[in-house]
Amino acid sequence: MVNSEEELILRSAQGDRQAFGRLYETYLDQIYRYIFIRTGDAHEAEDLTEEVFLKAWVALPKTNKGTPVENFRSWVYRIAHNLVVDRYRSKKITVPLQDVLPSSDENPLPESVVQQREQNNHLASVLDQLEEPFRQVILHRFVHQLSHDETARVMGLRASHVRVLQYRALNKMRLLLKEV
Amino acid sequence: MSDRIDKILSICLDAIERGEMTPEECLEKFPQQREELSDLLRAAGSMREFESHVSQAISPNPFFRQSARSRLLSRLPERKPVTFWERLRHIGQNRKLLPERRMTMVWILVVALAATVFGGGGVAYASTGSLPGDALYSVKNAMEEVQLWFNNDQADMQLQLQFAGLRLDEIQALMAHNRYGDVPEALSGFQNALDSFNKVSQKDAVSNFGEYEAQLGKLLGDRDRLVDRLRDMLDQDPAALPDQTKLQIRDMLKIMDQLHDRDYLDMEGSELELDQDQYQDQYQDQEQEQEQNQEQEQEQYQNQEQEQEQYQDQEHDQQQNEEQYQNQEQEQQQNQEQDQSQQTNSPDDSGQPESDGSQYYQPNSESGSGRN
Repeated sequence: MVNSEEELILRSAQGDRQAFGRLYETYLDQIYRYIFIRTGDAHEAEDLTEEVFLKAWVALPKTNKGTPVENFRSWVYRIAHNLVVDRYRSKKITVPLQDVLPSSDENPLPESVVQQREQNNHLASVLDQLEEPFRQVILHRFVHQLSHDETARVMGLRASHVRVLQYRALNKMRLLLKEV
Repeated sequence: MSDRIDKILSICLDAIERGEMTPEECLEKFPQQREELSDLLRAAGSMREFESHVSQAISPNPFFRQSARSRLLSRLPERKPVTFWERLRHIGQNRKLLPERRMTMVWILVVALAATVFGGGGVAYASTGSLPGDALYSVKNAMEEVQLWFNNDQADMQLQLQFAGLRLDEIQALMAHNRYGDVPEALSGFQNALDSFNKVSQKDAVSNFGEYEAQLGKLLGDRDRLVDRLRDMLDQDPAALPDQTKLQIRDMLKIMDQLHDRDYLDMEGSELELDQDQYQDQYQDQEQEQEQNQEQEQEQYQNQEQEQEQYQDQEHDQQQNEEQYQNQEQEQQQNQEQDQSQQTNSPDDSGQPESDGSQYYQPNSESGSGRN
């Protein structure tokens, strides 16, 4: 039984399909969520998620790193990022977060839940007002919970650029949140 | 100030994410930035709460998830066997070598050493001064390739810059020997070296691009000086050059111009710029779409207004027509009454109305179709 992710990655690189299947299960939700937020389409997100891992399977033996866990995660996110960019290069869409998140529930909810949901919807609307690089950095950092370095790898930027974008994005968010 | 606060902010966020510090401890550590930092951390904190909401709200369909693994595994293509050269390169770059790989590398080194000692070394050494077009130039290229096999990415970047410099030296040597026909091969090598440098620099492990900026700057400066020399040759004494050479120089200048357009000094920021351009394109497209939509909406609105006006006009016309028709009927009645009264006096008068009543309905029937 293989336990560590590093082993799974090494075995996958050597052609072990079952090990790769386990990696897929580990990252399925994260990559699906990442793509769904970018596309707003559940079926598209399912197809692209699978495609990300098909690409990863093909490319894995060619990677020449020691494949530590953190690198694998950002590497898969990077494939997803490139795939979405390629797929939507012609369409050039940005799906508003407010359209992606469920808006209401038919069943009555406790007041605290309703308040939380309203606050989240408000945050989504604030995020939607940010310029795209700012929005992307915030999503990568706080929604997908990638580190500064991972965000830099996924977006193809330097970590220092990510830090500056993060500061400007949060600063703008701060002002937008104060407006209300 | 902002340059500093962005660093402080990321230090704090990193520490909070690692659980090494609380937001309050962070504010205490940076009292001068406390006010701004406090708001920024609050915004970041609200995003963390938002994350849990997103995680709950967005997840794959259970049916998809249930069969996802088996479906993916059934779609995984057969791996193409890794070639000997790919494996060799992989061995050289992997720092955590497995025992069997380590043994393979040892064998390769033994073979290479033997080749060097028993005759190969002389050839390899002789090839170092060869130029494109020389018999030993391919040996020189092969030796460079071997150097790349056994290095990590950082050393690869350094080597690629070194090779790019060598290609420029070769171009100068070829020009000195009037061997312009062989220059394109060296130029192509120069471009390949910089392309490889660019490729490696974008890999995960490499983050200290700045170290190479000075070297890149020098290389690009040397390249530009070569271009100037070639242009001078063509401009100052074209008659001294054979036609074939002039053609070759012009071809070379074209290639140089193409290279010049690709400013490798901006490589590191290029992806940012590309991404930003891409984002900007997105904004512009979106704005254009929005403008188009707005225009369409405005047109639709105007059309609706026009239609409404037309409709009102038509209704107005209809009313007028109806009034006219009523007047006409009244006139008809009056005429009939007059006729009846006149019949006694002039029995040959036809009693036709002055105008045909159907003309008042015609526009109405047209307008009726227009409204639809």
